[in-house]
Amino acid sequence: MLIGQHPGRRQQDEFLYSRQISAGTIGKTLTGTLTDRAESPQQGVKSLEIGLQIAMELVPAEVTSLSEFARRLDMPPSKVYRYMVSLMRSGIVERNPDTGGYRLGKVALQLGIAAQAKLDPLRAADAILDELHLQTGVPVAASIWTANGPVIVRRSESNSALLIGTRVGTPVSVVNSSIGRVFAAYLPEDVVAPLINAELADPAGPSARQLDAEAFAAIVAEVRANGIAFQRGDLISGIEAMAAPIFQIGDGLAMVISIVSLQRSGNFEPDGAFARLLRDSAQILSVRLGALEAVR
Amino acid sequence: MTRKPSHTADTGNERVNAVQGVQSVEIGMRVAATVALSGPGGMALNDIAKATGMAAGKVHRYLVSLCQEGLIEQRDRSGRYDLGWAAIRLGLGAQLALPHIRECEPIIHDLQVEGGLAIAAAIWTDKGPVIIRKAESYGQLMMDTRIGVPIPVGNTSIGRVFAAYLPTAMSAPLLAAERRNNMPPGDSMDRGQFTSLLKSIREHGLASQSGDFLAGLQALAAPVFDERDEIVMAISMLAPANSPALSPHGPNARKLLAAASRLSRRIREIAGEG
Repeated sequence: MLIGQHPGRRQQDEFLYSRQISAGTIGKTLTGTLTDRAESPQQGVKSLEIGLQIAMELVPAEVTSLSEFARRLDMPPSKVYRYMVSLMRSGIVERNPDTGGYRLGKVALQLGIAAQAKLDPLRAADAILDELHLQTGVPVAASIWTANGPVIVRRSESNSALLIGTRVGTPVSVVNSSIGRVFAAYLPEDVVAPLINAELADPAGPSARQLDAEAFAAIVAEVRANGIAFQRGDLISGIEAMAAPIFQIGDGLAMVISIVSLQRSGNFEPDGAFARLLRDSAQILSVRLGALEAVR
Repeated sequence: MTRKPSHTADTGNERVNAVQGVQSVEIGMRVAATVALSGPGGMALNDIAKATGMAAGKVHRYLVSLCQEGLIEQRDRSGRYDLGWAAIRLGLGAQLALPHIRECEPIIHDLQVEGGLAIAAAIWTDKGPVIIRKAESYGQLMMDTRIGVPIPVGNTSIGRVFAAYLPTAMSAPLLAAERRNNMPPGDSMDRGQFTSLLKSIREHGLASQSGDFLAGLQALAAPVFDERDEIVMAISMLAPANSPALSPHGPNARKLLAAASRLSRRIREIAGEG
């Protein structure tokens, strides 16, 4: 049975394995060394790369028809079969006894578990934050959710004379910051609701700016629709900010990454260059943390 | 083609070997499997060469391609090699082929509703139970379980649930190793006591423990069975030891048992549809 056909599961086309997030993009965006390598390629083993690409194609669902699969890969079926033979010998791929299809096997499972054990989400975030800071030139931060609301846990290094943004370790507003609004949009409601209600009821808080529960719900819905939160006058008036969700294994929200700017730069428009960079960085980090469905 | 597979064949320059495979794929996966066994710091090129019995120059060519596709990554500072993001993604793809893993996500997220509780789902591997999905508690106390890291069999509620329902031959070697490492199942529990503990877990369908694995925590764990009534997963609830949340007869225990049997039922349904 195909995974995508299962009634309890989303349709297969929604179960996204984005072709745009290729290995190359992720590698290149991540380490300077890999970028250099792409410019002056070191000698690798091309057929191993093809074999790995074929294996990755089996991530969203097993393959029942080899000829159809070969068409999708634009390769002769006999050649695809030879790769499958070796992937099966390595234990990466196995035949599904019920359907005869090709699916990822026990060694893939073991490699994945070993890699998960070695995964350090904050270290992975650091690499992305540094790269995003390099590309935008503005302060970049990563935040996690705590019992006191969002807390910034990482910031990119910045060498500008004036440091803006929130200090590491300071709780951030849920209602009145782009970071908080992303948490409000993607965490379970009963986790975020108590803090949102408390902030809305605070006479010194956002209610002073005519933000009630209904208006905030509309903002949160917009964040979900955009996959990103934009805000002008974020915490301090005059600051522009945007924040994006990072998903993890199981596709729950892991953290939020955000960028801020001190002045109107024109770069913080919803369809601007910074939004695209933030979105790309968020996708790449989500893939690295093991998100599958949430990546689009 | 009547020739037999030969795994001892040549050096990998030849792309297609006798039984119509692509040998460099097999060699590359052997390199990746070797790196997978490395410790937290990864593995240096020379050590990979030694472990695989390949020349360093040749290993390097395979590593270049493994890094290109993300299965392996090279650490910036040390230059050592370790598993990369594509390994996680391949593993998740393999997990989705398993009904109990595919179906456990909505169930553990439903369980998360109670504030202050962390939920974890674990499967059995040859290194012991490994948590593969979790829902964090977001409480004051950080109780974040690590996905992918093997946990002890004898002194965790998850481990004990597996020990109670798996054939003894599967858990015994790990329990013996834990005893040798001065990690007996519980404080001063002898073999007889442990055996009767497992019996009581089977009677109640639930393991309950405080001081579980980490001091200051209490835990409950319940088994999930496949269509052959074999244990495939343990679902666990964690809470701070001082909170009353996890009495074995309390509402949370009932919720956990209901969730575990709902998942077992779902697995049987899927097997029936198959």
